[in-house]
Amino acid sequence: MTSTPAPSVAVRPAHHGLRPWLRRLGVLAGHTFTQLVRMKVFYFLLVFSLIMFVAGFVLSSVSPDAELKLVKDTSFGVMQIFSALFGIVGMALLLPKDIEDRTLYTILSKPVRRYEYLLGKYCGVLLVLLVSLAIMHLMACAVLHVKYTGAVADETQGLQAAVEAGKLTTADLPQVRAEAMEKLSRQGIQPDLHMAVLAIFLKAAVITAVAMAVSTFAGSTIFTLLATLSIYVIGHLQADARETLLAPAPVAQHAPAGEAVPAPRPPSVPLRLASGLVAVLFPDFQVFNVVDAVVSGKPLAWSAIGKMFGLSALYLSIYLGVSIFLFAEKEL
Amino acid sequence: MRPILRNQCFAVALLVGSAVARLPVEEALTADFRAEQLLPPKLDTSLRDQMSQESFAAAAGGLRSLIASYYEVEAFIAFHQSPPRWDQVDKYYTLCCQLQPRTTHYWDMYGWMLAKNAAESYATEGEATTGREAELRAYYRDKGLGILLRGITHNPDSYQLYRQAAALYSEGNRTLNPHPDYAKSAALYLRASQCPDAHTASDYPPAKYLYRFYLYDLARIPGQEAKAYAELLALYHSSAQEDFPTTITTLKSLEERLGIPLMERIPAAAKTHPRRPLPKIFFPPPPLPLRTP
Repeated sequence: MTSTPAPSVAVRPAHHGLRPWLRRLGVLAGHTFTQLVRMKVFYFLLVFSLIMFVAGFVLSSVSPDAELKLVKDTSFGVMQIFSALFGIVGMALLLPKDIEDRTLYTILSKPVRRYEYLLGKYCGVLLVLLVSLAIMHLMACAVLHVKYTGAVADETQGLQAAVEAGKLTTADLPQVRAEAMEKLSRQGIQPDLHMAVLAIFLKAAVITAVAMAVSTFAGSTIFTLLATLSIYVIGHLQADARETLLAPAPVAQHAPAGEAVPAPRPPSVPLRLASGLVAVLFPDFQVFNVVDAVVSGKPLAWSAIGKMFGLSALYLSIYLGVSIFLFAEKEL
Repeated sequence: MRPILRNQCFAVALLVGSAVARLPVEEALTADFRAEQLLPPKLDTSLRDQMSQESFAAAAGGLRSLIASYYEVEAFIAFHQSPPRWDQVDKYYTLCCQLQPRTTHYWDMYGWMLAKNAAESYATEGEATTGREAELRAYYRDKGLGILLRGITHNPDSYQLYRQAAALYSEGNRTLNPHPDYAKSAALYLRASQCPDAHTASDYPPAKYLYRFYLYDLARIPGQEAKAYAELLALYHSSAQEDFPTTITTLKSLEERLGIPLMERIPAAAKTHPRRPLPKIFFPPPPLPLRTP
């Protein structure tokens, strides 16, 4: 009787309960985060705070609610610019720097796959983006809160003075006050503003992925910077290009009297080709511009955020996929 | 095929192939967000002639709200000059409204600046006005009113613009508006009171007073007195707080005009209710009589 050999059991290392590739990704992301922090990237928050101070306490506008809107517009506009610049510059600098410092060779000589390296770098930049956006949002909310409290106090005093001067009757006071407060609260801190920050983050995540795709074939940092900035601008016009591409052929219409109205001229073939190229190659950044509506007081539903998440996931899979393909066999 | 070339082909194939799936999704999402008014309408290319190159690029790059806010600051600076630069105010608010046509605030302020501030700046109290000044008053008032009405077409569900336009139609002013149009103002006040944003959850939702204003103006339209009286009387009796001086004055005037019997008329004085309690007066207690030993 032969004894059956005991089945061999592969012993897996513990790896802190995480899958090895995930752990490697975490290490690379953490390293990238530290690398960027050491590059003193958070100094730009000083610039942001200065801008917020000027918008909040130096500039004045037509009415208290207009001043609150100015603070919100400035903070969210600057957040958009900074987050996009941050993603682009971060990605444009990191890859060439790693090659220059020869860190890349050290990393790739370890059991780290090239795609893991790329994804790790990407996650590190996203982490810095997330932290910086959170800090900027907190600062913006603080300024907005101070401004809002001041505006409410001023409005109350103003109404009281109007009553004392006989310009407003006590009977009308409650409704005038209610309306003024409603106007102010619409421009104060609303929960939808946090959603708008999420939209800014998603947009920045997409442009960072595009920057990574460019940097995998670009020869220099400056090329990556300029090319990605151009893509960022063109991406805002992609919707127009797409409309030109997908526009149905114009049909001749008939006026009520019966005579035919000549059909509008269709876009020329070169224009259609150029539009097609833009629509195919570039992401649509205009879809993420819901911030303006939110700042103006429009509510942002979870479903809209969900759709933006879905589109961002699609973009990320495309541009990260392109980066991985281009970097996989790149001669380093 | 070399691996590097093969991978480059894969990358291009991924970009182009994914576009087939991506473009309809983008198109649908854009249409969806535009319908929900989350995305602004397409940027008017005629703006390019009026804005600086940087501002236009920034607006195209998704910073419309920011650019509009700063144009409003410019308009405010022009307004504060002595004398105010109305042409500049007009120019900057035009840009604000074109950049953000769905932001009621800009239409509201633009209309108010021209129809009230600019027009009244040419109506100096107690001074003889020239023909040119009268012309400018009429021009700015009409322009302001036109702006408000244009704003309404972009924002049909916002009460503020209806209210501003209604106030302009109904305000009787010897120099600015000698012939108030109460029919138009009443219609606008009624529409304003029906707007969704006028029905807020506060104790004093705007819909309440907008409806009251509608009835005040309805009372001034010849032939509408009976309807105005019935509705205003119902409003007056609906709540203890509906005893505003104008309500009572209007009801009294309607009672006279309609010949309401004395017994059915409302009292002339305002009702007393908790909103305006009588002042509490604490009389000092009478001095105690002195006890004589």
